[in-house]
Amino acid sequence: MNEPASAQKGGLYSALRFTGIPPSWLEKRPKLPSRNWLIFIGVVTSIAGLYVDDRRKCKKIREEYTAKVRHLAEETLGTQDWPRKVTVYSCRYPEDHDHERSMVYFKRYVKPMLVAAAIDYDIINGNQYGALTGKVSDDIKKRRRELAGLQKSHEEELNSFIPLPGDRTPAGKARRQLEGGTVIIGRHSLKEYLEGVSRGWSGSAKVVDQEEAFAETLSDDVFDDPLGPPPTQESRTPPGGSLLPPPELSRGSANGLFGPIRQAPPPPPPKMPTFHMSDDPPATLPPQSPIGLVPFTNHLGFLQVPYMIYDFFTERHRVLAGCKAGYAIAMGQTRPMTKKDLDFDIQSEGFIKGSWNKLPKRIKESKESYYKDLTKDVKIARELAYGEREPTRAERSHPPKTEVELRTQRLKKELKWKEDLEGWEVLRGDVCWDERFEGVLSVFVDPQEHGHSF
Amino acid sequence: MSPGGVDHEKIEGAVIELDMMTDVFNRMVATCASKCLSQRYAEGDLTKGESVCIDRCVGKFIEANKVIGEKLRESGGGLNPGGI
Repeated sequence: MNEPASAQKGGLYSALRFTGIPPSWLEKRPKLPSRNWLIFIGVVTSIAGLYVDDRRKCKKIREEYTAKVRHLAEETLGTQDWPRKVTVYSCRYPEDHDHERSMVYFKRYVKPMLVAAAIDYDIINGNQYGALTGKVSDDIKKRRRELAGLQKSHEEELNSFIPLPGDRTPAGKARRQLEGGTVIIGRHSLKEYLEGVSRGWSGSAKVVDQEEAFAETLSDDVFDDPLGPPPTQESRTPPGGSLLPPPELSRGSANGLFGPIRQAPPPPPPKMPTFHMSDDPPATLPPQSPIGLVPFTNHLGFLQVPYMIYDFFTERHRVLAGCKAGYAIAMGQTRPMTKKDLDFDIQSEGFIKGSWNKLPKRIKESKESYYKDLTKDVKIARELAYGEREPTRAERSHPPKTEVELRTQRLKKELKWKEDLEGWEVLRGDVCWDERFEGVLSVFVDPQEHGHSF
Repeated sequence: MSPGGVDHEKIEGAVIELDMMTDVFNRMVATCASKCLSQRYAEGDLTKGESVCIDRCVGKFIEANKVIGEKLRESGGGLNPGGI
């Protein structure tokens, strides 16, 4: 029985059969795992393989593109010169609670190229809708005032104290800014940026206190006091029996003895000398720095989770887009901006959440609920101020807001709602195109592709 | 021209502060040079990559020094004056 069996088993059996290894082990044959195991292993391996392959390709793409620009970083720089500096504009994406996502996108996909090309960058991020428009237009108006000689630039004032090395004249600074370039992340930032440029070069360049101007437009009906001012003097007597109309009647009718009280306005801006040249907006704009456009689509919300999963496995597309944009910016080849460029990244608009269109309704609703609570709070504040009743225990531990605080809070909230609405209007519409932009704006192009627009 | 006693302390304080500043400066130069500058070079000028790197390194160093100085001042009560 054993003789024919050992003849079948062959070399391995006869070599190892006396080593103490259980003989059943020497008779084993290779066997596939069960069907379920095969399915599991197949699925996990293919998903992991997709991920690993994608990240490897990303690394290759990054290395390839950074190698293309490395020669820029190896040029020499004199001790009195500055390196090239670009300004990066990003702003809050519509319906995104995170206002820095565009900035993070820039840092992940475009910044490595700028670092490899030894280009310095300055990031200006708009934290709310419309904030970038405001910043850009304010900067341009400041520039207009400096050009008109009405306001000394920061550098001039420093230079007058201590002369520092390097070309720090405003002309030199403007030239460096012009040659540096602008980077814009996403279609929403482009809208806000062009709107800001258009607004900055329109209208007057005078300093205007937005808050003051806005505060004038607010109605003070909510703070109407039918009973008169609180007894700030010693006497606690109610201020004249004739001034006591029943509260429920006079809300909104008479002006109230308070009248529109505002909190102390911020210190007025330093008085400007009268304009000796015209304050009218110029008919043609000075040449603007070339713009590098970086496409950015943000997937938000539960319904876009499939897109997010797809994006997780196709990071190489975004790396390639970011590297191409960074390469175009680094090489510095430009072409004039045309109206066709206003369709930049238009496919990203299809992915904006539907609730974006309902923003004004949401603001209206929050306004209504706020004003409802406000009348109650004003009543409580007045009651405590007049001394009509003692504060309850809860109120003693957490003193409710006084009237002045309520007014400032209301002003702040109204200002924020107004800015949100304005930003929404800018972002909802098309990219702004001023006639004066023709021939003044330019776009960075990829030298290899001879300028293909997005 | 001025009384000797008070000035002596001030001078010592100033010397200590100068020492601290020089120390910080030397440390900064050593750190940023080791991080940013390569050992092989063809000409005397810095390359753009090195300049940008040094700009950023110095900026970060000074920022970190400021933050640490403030924290020490809060907790330690400012035993050591100085720091940038």
